[in-house]
Amino acid sequence: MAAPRGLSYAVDIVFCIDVTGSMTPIIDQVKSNALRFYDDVQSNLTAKGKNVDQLRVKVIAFRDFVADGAAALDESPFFTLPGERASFSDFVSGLIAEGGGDAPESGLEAVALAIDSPWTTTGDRRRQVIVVWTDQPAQPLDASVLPADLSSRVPADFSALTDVWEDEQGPMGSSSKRLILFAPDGPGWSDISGVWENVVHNPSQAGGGLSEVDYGTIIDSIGNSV
Amino acid sequence: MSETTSEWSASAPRSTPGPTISFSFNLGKIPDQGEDSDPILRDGPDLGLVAVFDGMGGAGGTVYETPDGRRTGAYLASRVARDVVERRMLELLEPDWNLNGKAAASDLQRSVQRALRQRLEELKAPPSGLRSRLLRALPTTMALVALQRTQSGGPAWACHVLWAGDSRAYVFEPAGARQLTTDDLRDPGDALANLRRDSVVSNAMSADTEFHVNYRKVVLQAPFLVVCATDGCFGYVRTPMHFEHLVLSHLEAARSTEAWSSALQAEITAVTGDDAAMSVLGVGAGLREFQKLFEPRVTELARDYIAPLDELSNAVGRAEQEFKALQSRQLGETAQIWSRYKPEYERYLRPQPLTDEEKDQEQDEPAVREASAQAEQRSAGDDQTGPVAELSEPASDQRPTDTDEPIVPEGSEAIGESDRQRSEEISS
Repeated sequence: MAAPRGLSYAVDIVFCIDVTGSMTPIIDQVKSNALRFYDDVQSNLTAKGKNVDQLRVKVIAFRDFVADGAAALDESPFFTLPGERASFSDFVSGLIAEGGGDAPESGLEAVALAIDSPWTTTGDRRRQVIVVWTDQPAQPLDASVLPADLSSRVPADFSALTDVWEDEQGPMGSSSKRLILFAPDGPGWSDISGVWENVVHNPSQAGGGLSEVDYGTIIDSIGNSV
Repeated sequence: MSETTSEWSASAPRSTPGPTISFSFNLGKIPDQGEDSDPILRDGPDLGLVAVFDGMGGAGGTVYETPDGRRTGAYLASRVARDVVERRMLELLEPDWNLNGKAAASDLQRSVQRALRQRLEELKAPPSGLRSRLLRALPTTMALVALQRTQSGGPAWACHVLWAGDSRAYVFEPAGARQLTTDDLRDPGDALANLRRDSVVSNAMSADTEFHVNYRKVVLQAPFLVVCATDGCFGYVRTPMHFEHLVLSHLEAARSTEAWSSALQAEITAVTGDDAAMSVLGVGAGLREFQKLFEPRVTELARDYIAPLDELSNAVGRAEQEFKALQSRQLGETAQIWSRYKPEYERYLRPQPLTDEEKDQEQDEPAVREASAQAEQRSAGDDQTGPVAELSEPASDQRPTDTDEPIVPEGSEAIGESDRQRSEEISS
């Protein structure tokens, strides 16, 4: 008889980071939080003896398509950690807060693109996490301002985006997905936390003032439930 | 038998034995921080009570300061619920009085909710800044079985099953294991689907959300084993069949109930990714009789279910390894073959030594270049200097092709006559 074997886990995390000018005072903190977040999820999983066979991270830096056009988006590939940690750090370190015009920003487009990521299909159990840091409300979705290559990946409006998130056959697994919002209480973000399942919302300016207790609760909601 | 404390006594004569063997365990992945509570395990000649409680770490990870140190809401909740449920059930479950299961479910719901709310108030925790339907204050699951013999001395037992969440109660009968609870999940499926889907729990005891306690009653014929288990026990094996085999295969080999329990704990510890609690009560037979009764089932499980599944799983593992080895070989051999092919393929891309003719030509070129530059300067006027002179010299690959001189990129070998002919053939 075969020896007993535990389940294998695959964790994908996509960081959506607002890199508009208003983020300048806190961008370094957000970058450091992004690098720390992965470590904390990893520790949370391994503390309970969960064999994380694959852990990948990806970054989507966003501004405002209305004000910045094609420069509103900087999307990395998935980095497999720990092997590609240096590339992940380099990408995050290279982010510069600038542009964006006036509030709001293209945060919902970033979430839509994150949902459309090439999520892992390996592992007995998977956790697919999107983490958003922003200090501004989100623009309503508007296909007319998007570059042609992105328009097919972004739903037409909030209702369609909700359908994609809630779709059991959608790009993300119905049980494995989590959306963590470090975003202000305002259009877009409050709509998400009020309606969508599997969301944890910390109403704040990109996570500013988050208590350690609440931070620990968020990490547990990702690692301890898989 | 691991003798359990008898809470109930009965004076009625019995022809078939009541609860005979029992054990329970509570395995924390992190010592002293296990979020499952110690199980409930009580029995009397005509009664039995078995239960487990799983503090939900994903939903209840919030940490509170307590006199015993920092504890998660999940840790506190499972213990509060356990104490309340045990107290209430010892009052409700009597030998000579049929348990009203639905009323018991309502009673447990009210009692646990009140106790959890009170505990939350006592903790005086600052309100969380987080908004989420995933998070709950003091969340825990429960799976409980209360057994009552239906007729004095008889083999039939009323099995009252009460639960909230995804912890499970089972009965193991000689013909197989049967699940008695239905997992409370947002995306419910059968036991195999739930193993793979890892769905969010839809109903669990907590201090800040409404919940209900499910109730089901079945009648069992002794001998049987009742098992209550948290998902750390059954949620990390490949299939429900593997869980049944895991429990029974160690019964088969055990010299005592304690040895059975120890072997089970060792195997669960090896595979689980969670805290694990289990409570087992055998009714109607002793250890040796159970071993004999379940022997054919263990053989059948191993032969008809586990062996084919493991064989397939091993075959997949081997195929994956072979695939990886092939991929690696493909990469290696592709690189090797390319390195054989590459020198000729890149023949004209590499710097080549100049021919004697080219060397002579190079020596002549400075004079030609100077003369050409002077001519250009004359024609362009005084205000146009160096850059124009540089532009006036045709690059090596821009030389006119109507001369007899072959096209020779700088530092490259001349195209041979046969190549030129081929090139002309193609262009014509």
